[in-house]
Amino acid sequence: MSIKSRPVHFLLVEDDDSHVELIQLALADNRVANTMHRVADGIEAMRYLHSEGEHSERMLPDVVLLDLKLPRMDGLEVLSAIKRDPVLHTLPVVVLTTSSAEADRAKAYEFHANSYVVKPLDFNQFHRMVKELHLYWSAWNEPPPVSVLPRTGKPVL
Amino acid sequence: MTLTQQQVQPIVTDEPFSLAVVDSDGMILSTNGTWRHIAESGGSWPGRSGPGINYIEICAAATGEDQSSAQVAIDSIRNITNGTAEHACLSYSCEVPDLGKRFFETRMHGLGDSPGRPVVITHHDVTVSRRAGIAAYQRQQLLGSLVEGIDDFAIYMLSPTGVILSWNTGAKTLTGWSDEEVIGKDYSMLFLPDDQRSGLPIAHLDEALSHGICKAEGWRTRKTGGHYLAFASLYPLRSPAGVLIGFAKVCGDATALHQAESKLAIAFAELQQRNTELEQFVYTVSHDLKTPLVTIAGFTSHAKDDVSQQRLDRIPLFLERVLAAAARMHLTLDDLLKLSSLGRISSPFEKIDLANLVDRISQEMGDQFKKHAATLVISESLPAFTADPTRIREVFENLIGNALKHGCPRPGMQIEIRGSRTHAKVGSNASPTAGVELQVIDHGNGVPPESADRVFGLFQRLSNKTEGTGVGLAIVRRVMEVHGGTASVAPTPGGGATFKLFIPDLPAASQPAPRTTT
Repeated sequence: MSIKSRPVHFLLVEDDDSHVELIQLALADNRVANTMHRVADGIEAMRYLHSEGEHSERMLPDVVLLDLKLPRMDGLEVLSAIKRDPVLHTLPVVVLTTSSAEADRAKAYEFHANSYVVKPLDFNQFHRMVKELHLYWSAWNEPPPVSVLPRTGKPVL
Repeated sequence: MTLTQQQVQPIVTDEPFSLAVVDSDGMILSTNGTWRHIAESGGSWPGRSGPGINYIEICAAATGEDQSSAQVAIDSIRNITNGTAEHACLSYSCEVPDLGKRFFETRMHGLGDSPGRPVVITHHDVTVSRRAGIAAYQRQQLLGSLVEGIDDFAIYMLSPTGVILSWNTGAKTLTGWSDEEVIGKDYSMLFLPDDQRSGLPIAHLDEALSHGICKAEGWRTRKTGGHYLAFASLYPLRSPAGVLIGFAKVCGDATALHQAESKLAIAFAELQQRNTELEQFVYTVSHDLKTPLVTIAGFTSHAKDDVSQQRLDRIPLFLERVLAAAARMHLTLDDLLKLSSLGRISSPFEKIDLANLVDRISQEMGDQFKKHAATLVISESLPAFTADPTRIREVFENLIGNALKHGCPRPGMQIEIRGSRTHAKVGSNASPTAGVELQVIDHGNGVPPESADRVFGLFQRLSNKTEGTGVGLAIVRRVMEVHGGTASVAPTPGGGATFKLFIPDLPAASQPAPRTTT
């Protein structure tokens, strides 16, 4: 069975530069096209999603990859802000964290995370995880229609 | 008039008392059955007598202990028969066969009112009531000594209006007053002035009356002006007929218990807080130590993969990432060790010469000052304070280091150290504490208000580009807590961050002082 996949646009909210590189390296190994925008803290993530300042022409991501431990505004706050937003709440958010703490998982789902993934220490697993994340969101998942979630420009109600 | 034996016979019936009628000379004219029964049973005087025997002679023959009461009996008969007395009543005791010592009451009264009148003599056995009376008296004595002997409870007897009628040793010990200072005074003197004004003493009496008891716990005053925590019960005392005689007040001292309880509660709250902190700490550590591990594992695997494919161009980059992550982990662990040792005071408190201390720190950090082309300005009027010198040094190293990293975005900027005496509220204490406020002021980008508290959290950084591990300010706050003080950050007027430390004059006592006792 062949899987038809389309280019996926990720918003990666991650403060650790090395982890960003690892994720990019893993994505590069997938032959499927993708684009990624990286922001390093929660405030920046919200500015991007709200098309503020330099992000006025930003492309709405198909999926947000969200670390939990972030400077200025942490991942759970970002998650909560997205899911309370009248427009952005339909955006799929995958929590991608080193934390396997039950409290974090509980809170993430309480705030309506679409998925919760723990960064594996094992390289092969890490690689597979990124690949499968990509595959899932590019091939299997159907995004919210544009009428609900405009792809570009400032989201409006 | 002389009554014949026939005349008096009808009066003399078998009664629970012995009765005899004697003439003016003491001759027994008649007796009742009880008298006779005693006479026949052969007991000692005066029962051993009957008609025809002279009662006065029997009395006169009495010896020993009986002599004086016998003489009273003789005198009484004479006084009644010659009309100088109407009646007489005397008591005596004697041995009765089979019954042992019995108590009697003798009553005499004249028959008719002519001179030389006969006298009716009755003997009532009052042994039972007398013994009951003695027992009651003894019980009272015993109870009195028991009450008096209790020295760890104060026991008061109050009048129906609340006047202190008597008290025990325990009450004297508890309150410190003497008999003269208390007996006859209103018991409201035992209460605090505020409670006296609000009418609490009377309210307690009222409640005891309406409920049969009033149980109360509260602070009361001692003679010295000190206070004790009393737990007291107040009972109304009533006569068998239900008339209020007064109140009994029993009062214990719960001060020590209260102090122990407060200490325990404080220790428990501290333990809970430490536990929460520990959970937070473990969680944070596990997260922040995993981050470099993910990096190390990831890049090492990539390198391994590349090597197996004979591809070497990316290896130096990957190894660089691995080394950076390892170095970062090393720093983090060092800082964590530092933080974990902060729970206790490391050096004895001493007076801190802050100007000198800060000056030495700035010399040691000379390279960093040069790098940022920054200068340190130390206020000339820094207040003196007492603290752990080692910890205070760590605090200022961290704050000055922090000001250099974040507060000096351009060359030529100033970091200022200021201080003043002030009052501040610490923790849940309602009243402000006296102490010193010390400030480390920079003119950099400042801390956004929403992050003002967060920056003191473990591993919290304002940006992913920031140097450091995010432990420094956590150390600052922890040291301030150990000193019973606070650490906070506010905007510097005109831009920048002002880190404020409050150190109370004395290391915060481990307990809020209850009303002190002396």
